[in-house]
Amino acid sequence: MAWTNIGITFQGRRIGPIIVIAVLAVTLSKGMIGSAAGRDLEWILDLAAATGAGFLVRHGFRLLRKKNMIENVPSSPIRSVAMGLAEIKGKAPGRAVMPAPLSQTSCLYYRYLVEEERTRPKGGREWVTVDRGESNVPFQVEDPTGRILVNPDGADIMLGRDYQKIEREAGWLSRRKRYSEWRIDPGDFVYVIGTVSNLRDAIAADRAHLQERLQQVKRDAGAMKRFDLDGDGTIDPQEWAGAVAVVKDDLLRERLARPAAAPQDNLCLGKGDVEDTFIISDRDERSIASSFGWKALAAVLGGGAGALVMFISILGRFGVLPGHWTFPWEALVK
Amino acid sequence: MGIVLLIGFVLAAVIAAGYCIGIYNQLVQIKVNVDKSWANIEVLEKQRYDEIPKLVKVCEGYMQYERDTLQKVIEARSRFLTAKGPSDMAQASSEMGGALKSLFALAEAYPDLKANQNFNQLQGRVSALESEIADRREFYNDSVTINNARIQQVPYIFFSGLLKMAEREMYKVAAEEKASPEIKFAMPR
Repeated sequence: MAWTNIGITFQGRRIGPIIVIAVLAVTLSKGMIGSAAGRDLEWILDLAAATGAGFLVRHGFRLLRKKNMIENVPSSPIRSVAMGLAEIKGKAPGRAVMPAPLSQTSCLYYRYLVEEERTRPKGGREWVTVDRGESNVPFQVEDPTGRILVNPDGADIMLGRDYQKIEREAGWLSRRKRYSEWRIDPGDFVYVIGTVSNLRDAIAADRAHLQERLQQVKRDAGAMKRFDLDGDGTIDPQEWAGAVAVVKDDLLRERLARPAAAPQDNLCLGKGDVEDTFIISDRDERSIASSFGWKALAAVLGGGAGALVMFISILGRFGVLPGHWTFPWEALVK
Repeated sequence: MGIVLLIGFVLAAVIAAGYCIGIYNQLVQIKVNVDKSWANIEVLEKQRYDEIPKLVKVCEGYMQYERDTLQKVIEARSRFLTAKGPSDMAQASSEMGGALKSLFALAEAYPDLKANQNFNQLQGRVSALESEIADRREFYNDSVTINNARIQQVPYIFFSGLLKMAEREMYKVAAEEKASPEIKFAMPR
C-alpha cells in the first residue's frame, strides 16, 4: 500500500490480494464496459469488488488484532526481556550508522519515497511513486536497563516524516518530483513490539565446547594418562565420567573468568515465525493503538459497506432486485 | 427491499461474528500472557536456584564460621522447590533473596573471599538475576492488571465467563524482603 502523507506505512502483502483482484477485474473488463457483452459480464466486476471488500474487512480485523496486541502486552525493561512477543520502549543510541539517502543525515534506520507529479487522463494531477527504499540494517534500542538489537526486516514502520522536498528537474518540460524521508535518528524515542529470539543458542554452544574439549583430551595421551586413575592403560566408564566432570569444571571456571555478557546481548527483536505483529514507531503507544483502531474501523465498515453494495448490484444484474440498483461501472470508467 | 435487508443483516452478522471472535481471541491472549509472564519468572528463579550451590561451595572455604548463614541459604533454596502459586512463591523467593543478601553482606568481612574471582562472578550473576526477577515480577503484575481490568470491562465481561477467566493474584513482595537483612558476624575480624 502506498505510504500516506502522515508517514504511516503498511506492508503491501497484507492487502495484496485486494490489489491483485482489482487489477484482474479492471484488466478483464477493459474495453468491454459499456458494450452489450460488457454489460453481461459486469457482474464479474461486482464479484471481484465484493471479494476485495471482503479482504478489506479481513485487513481491518488484522489491524484490530494489532491494536489489541499493543494494548494487551505490557512493556518489558530490556534487561529482563523474555523470549517471544515483547514490547519495549527506549531510544536509539547516540551512534548513527549510516547516512539517509535523501537528506544525508546520519541515522540508524531510514525509509524514502520519490514521487513524480503526473497528469491524470481525466484531468487533474497526481503523485506517482517512482522510487522507494528502506534500510535493512539492524539497529539497537536502549533503555535505562540495557540495549537490544532490532532487525527491522518485515516490520510495520510508523514514523513521522523527517524530510520532504519538492523540486522541478532541469528542462522546461520536466515534471515536479517530491522526495520524502522517514528516519530513526540517534536519541529518537523508539517503540517496538515484536518477537524476541536468540541470536545464538548458548546451550548448544556450551555443548559444542564440551565436545571439542573432550575430543582434545582423547587425542592427548598425557591427559588420558592423568585420568587413568588405576593405571591399567585403559579409561573405564567411571574414569571417563570423572574426566568429563573435570573438563566441565574447567569450562565453567573459564566461563566465569570471562567478562559476563549481558543476557540481552544474545537477543534480537524482529518478526516472529508464528506471531507476525512487528511494529516499529517513534510515536507513543496510545497514539499507535489509536491509529490502528481508526484504520481498523474504517476498513471493517468500508469493506462491509462495499460488500453490501456489490451484492445488491449482482442481484440487480440478475433481475432479483430492480435493474437501476446495479453499480455504474460505466460511469466510473468514463 | 426485504432481500437488501437480509443481505445487510447477513453482512452485519459476519462482521459481528468476526468482532466476537476477535474479543474471544484477545481474552485467550491475555490469559496466555499472564501464564507466560509467570513462567518467565520461574525460569529466572530456577537459574538463581541453580547458581546457589556453586556460590555456597565457593563461600564454604572462606566462611567456616558462618555455617548458619550458609545453611539458611541452602534451606531457603530447598523451600523454594516446594513453593506453589504467586503468594507461596513470593514468600520462598523473598526468603531466598533475604538469605542471599545476608550472605553477600557477610562476605564484606572476608577480604580473601571478596578477592576471589569466582565469588565475584557468581555474586554479580546472582545480583543480575535478582534485578531481572524484579523486572519480571513487575511485568507479571502488569499482565495481571490487564487481565483483571479486561475481564470486568464491556464487552469482554460477556466472554470472560466462557473462558472461565477469573481475577489473578498479584505478586506481592513480602514484608521481610522490603526490610534490610539483619547481619550478625559470628567471628570478629
